[in-house]
Amino acid sequence: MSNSEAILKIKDLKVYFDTDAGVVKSVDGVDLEIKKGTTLGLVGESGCGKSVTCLSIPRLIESPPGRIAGGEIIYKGKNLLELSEKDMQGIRGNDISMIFQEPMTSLNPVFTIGDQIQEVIMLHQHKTSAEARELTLRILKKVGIPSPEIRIDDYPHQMSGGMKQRVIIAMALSCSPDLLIADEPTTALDVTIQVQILDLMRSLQDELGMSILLVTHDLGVVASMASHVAIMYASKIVEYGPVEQIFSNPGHPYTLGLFTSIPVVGRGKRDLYVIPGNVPDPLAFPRGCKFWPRCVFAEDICRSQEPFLENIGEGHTAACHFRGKIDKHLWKEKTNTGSFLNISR
Amino acid sequence: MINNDNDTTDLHLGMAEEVSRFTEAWRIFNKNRLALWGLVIFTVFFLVAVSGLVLTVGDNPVLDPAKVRLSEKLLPPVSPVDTEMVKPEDRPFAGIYLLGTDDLGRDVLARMMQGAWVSLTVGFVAVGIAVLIGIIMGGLAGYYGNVRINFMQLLAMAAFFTSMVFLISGQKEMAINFMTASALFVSFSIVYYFVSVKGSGDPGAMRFFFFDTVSVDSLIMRFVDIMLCFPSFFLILTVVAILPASIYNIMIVIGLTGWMGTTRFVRAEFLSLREQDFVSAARAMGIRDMSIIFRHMIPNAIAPVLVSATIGIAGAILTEAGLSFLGFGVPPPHATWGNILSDGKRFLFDAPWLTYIPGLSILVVVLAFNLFGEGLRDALNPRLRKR
Amino acid sequence: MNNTLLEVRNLKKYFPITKGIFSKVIGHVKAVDNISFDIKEGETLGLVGESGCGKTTASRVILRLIESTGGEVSFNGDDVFSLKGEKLRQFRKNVQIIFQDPYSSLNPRLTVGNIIAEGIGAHKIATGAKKKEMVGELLEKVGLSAGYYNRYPHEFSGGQRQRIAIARALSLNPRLIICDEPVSALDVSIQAQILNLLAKLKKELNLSYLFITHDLSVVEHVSDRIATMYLGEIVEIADTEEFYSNPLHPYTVALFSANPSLDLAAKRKPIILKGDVPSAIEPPRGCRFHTRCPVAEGICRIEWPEPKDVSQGHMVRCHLVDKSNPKAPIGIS
Repeated sequence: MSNSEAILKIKDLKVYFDTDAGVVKSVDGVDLEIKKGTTLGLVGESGCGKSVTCLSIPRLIESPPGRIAGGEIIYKGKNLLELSEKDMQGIRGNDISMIFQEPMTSLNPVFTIGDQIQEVIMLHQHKTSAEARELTLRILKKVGIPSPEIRIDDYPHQMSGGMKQRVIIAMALSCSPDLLIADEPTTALDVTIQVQILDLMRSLQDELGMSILLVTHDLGVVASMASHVAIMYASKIVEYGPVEQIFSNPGHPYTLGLFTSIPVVGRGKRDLYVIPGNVPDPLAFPRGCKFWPRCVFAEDICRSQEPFLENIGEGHTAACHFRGKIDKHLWKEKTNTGSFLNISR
Repeated sequence: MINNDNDTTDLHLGMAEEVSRFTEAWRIFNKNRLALWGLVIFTVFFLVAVSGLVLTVGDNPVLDPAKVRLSEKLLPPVSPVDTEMVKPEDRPFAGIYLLGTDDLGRDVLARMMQGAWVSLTVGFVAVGIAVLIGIIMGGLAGYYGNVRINFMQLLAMAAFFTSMVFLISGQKEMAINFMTASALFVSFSIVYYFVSVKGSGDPGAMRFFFFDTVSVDSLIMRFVDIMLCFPSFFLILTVVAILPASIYNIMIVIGLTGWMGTTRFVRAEFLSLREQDFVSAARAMGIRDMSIIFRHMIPNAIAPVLVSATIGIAGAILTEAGLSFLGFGVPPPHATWGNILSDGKRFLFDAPWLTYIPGLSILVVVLAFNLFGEGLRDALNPRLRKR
Repeated sequence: MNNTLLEVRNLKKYFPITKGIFSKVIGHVKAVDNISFDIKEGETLGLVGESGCGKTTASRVILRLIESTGGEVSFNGDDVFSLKGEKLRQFRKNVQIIFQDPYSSLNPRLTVGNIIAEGIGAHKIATGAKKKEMVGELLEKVGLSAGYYNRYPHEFSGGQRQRIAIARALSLNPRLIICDEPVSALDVSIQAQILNLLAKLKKELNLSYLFITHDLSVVEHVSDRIATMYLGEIVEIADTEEFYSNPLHPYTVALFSANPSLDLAAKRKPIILKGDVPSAIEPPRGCRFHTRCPVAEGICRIEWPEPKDVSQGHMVRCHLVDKSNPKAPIGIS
């Protein structure tokens, strides 16, 4: 996992939705990079465009109303946006797999879980049904389903939420993909089940060496899974870098706000920092930096000019006019937040 | 202590524009061309029917649907009146038979307009009755579905319905007997309630009459199932054959056989609304049941009912036309589209307009109602709307 | 901080499982099984547990939205389950609820003003202009503008809707508010707003909260005492400080360990509980947690653990916790 070759590179991706009320720019110039065998955590609040970014990688944006308005998605040297639909079919599910948030609706209730996994295998790998069943059993065992010989003929409604999410992971892994896109894979699960699933994903990654794009709103999940983090706000990446850098030295006011607004075990009863206001309406983004109306540092330049991602450390970029000048000490002064990250328990 | 003063102006950010539900529903509806045509035709039909009522009543109406002019029979549409044969007071409006005349020389335009009013009232009143019963039954099943009915209440209800059946079939004495029985059962229940539930008396063996049987939900929904088993048109035919022919009986009978769909809709809506948190919140605030039903549940359940009612009106118009065609409907000489059609079929080759005009009118109006109803369903369907 | 406001004793709620048109009862879901706790005036009790553990059912039973199967709840000394008429109306005024989903908790057909004013009207607290004024004050109290009176809920974002729901709950001037996962459906940055608002209101109005959540980091932030629920039972209850510094029940410890932490340095191995929560129709014999407990012993499978009071206000239901030397039978890392 030491090689730093990027398996996926997204450059200036733009995804727009045409609605009656106007063009919704869900993704507006996103740059991302996932290195081989690593996990990138994509963090953001609902409506920031993180799910749309995910869906656009295997080109699953429903069109109309959506359309990819520009940019490149380079997967192993090929621009996915230029491939024919038929070539894309071969990549979906085979090279790039997806896991969705809702384990309850991601499986078809009228087929057994075995049938559903075998279908994927037979579609992509030209195996006989006996071979596919054999392979399915192996995968189910790998994802930790007890007595897979029996459970393979179960219907989805016979399984619990955690079990279903395991089945979905098994399905995603059935063709040993090189890139796994996981869109909030544990949000619908209980915490004790969440650790089971995260642990499973970690060990499978170690074993299979795949790369993971992990979309989540939970910084705790990112901390335990990812090597790199991208923070997304209002259709753009506002900060990107190695997880240690972002966690120890966040460079964008939004990231700082996120860290100080979440309650952390052990911090006791203390007022939380509140990022003022709401996420802006994608039809009416503010001019200049999209975060300025909620930012404690905002000055005139923020209201007129949009900042771009620029280096603030090794492999660490932030889109802020004051990048490099904002740190947690200044933040503390400005917001009076007491201790910044009192994590130790 | 940080930023705790939640500034209201800050919260203004990202506030969606003020768009009322009606505007949004209208926007979706407006895009549906067919539904829009349905609405236009519905409006025209409504105006025609109302003016039909105004213009055809009275001793000397502008358009007289009953005036017989044997010399002018079976004239094609847009024929001028023969001024020599017809007395001035018998002449049609403007001296022209715009839609021709029938075999008795009556003005088809006047008859059609009179019939339009019949169709409209039958459609609206019948569906009104059906929707009213449907909302009550569905509401009971949906809101009080879990309540068990005891044996005595079941007896009282059975007696009441039997008495109604006797009343309809004209056996007054039997009806009175059963009604008395029903009243007895009810008063018995009340006495029982005060003695053994509120008071402390021991009901003893009497308890047998008050054991819980089925739930309100099962009772109503199984009754719906039974009603749906009858082919309703033949049920209506049978009832109409027994009852004296009149427009009101037709409306009532069509209404009484058409409430089952609404009941199912309303029950389903109520069941899902009951689980909504805003209903729980209202109950937790001590809001009364009736207020919850009328403020919180019915307004939210009404949209699908409205849709099915619109489509139901088309069905009722069709049923009435069918009954009139078969001669069971509104008695002559009163004109309805069904009996104009029925009269006209004898002259299909000599005077085809007598068939085409009412036939096409029924087709267009029924189609318009169906399209309008479906457009309404799309416009009111919350799933098409972003939250 | 001393009068007991709400007292729950051996509360039970079994949902019958029925079959056939005569609804024969063939079993019970034991959603809440013998739970007891107190809430003092001005105090917040956090109730932590995973989905299906019965925490929501318990709150609905306390509110008398569903009938209890057994046990007692007394509010301010009155037996809640036997309240009738005017007394019941008083109870309804005193105990309010805030729901998880801000989208289904507001009637989409009513204006914000009407939603908040409904209780004021129903309890004849005020009418006409006075009522409108009260609604305006409530809106401002929760950080919204009084000018939103005639707006409809769909025009608001999730966080704003939750504020409206809080204003509605406050409209009857309650003493206890049951908060059923009030921030779980909200974005992180909005969560903080609502949590701070709830804390501010508590201080201002001397409210008590029963704060139901699955999130250990949120519950610490708001609670004075915390109870852990598992499969219909309260397995541990303690003051917040004690709860966080010395969690005893293995399930509580596992929850702590499962809670995603922001600490990168300690990429510790969390305690991973095996399998899923068993069915509440036939809960396991003995200790209900033994099927998933990493340290379960013979006795856990046979005998139901009695509640042990290990220190002032710290109760735990575990065979393996020593009363004289309370230490968790399982370490965190």
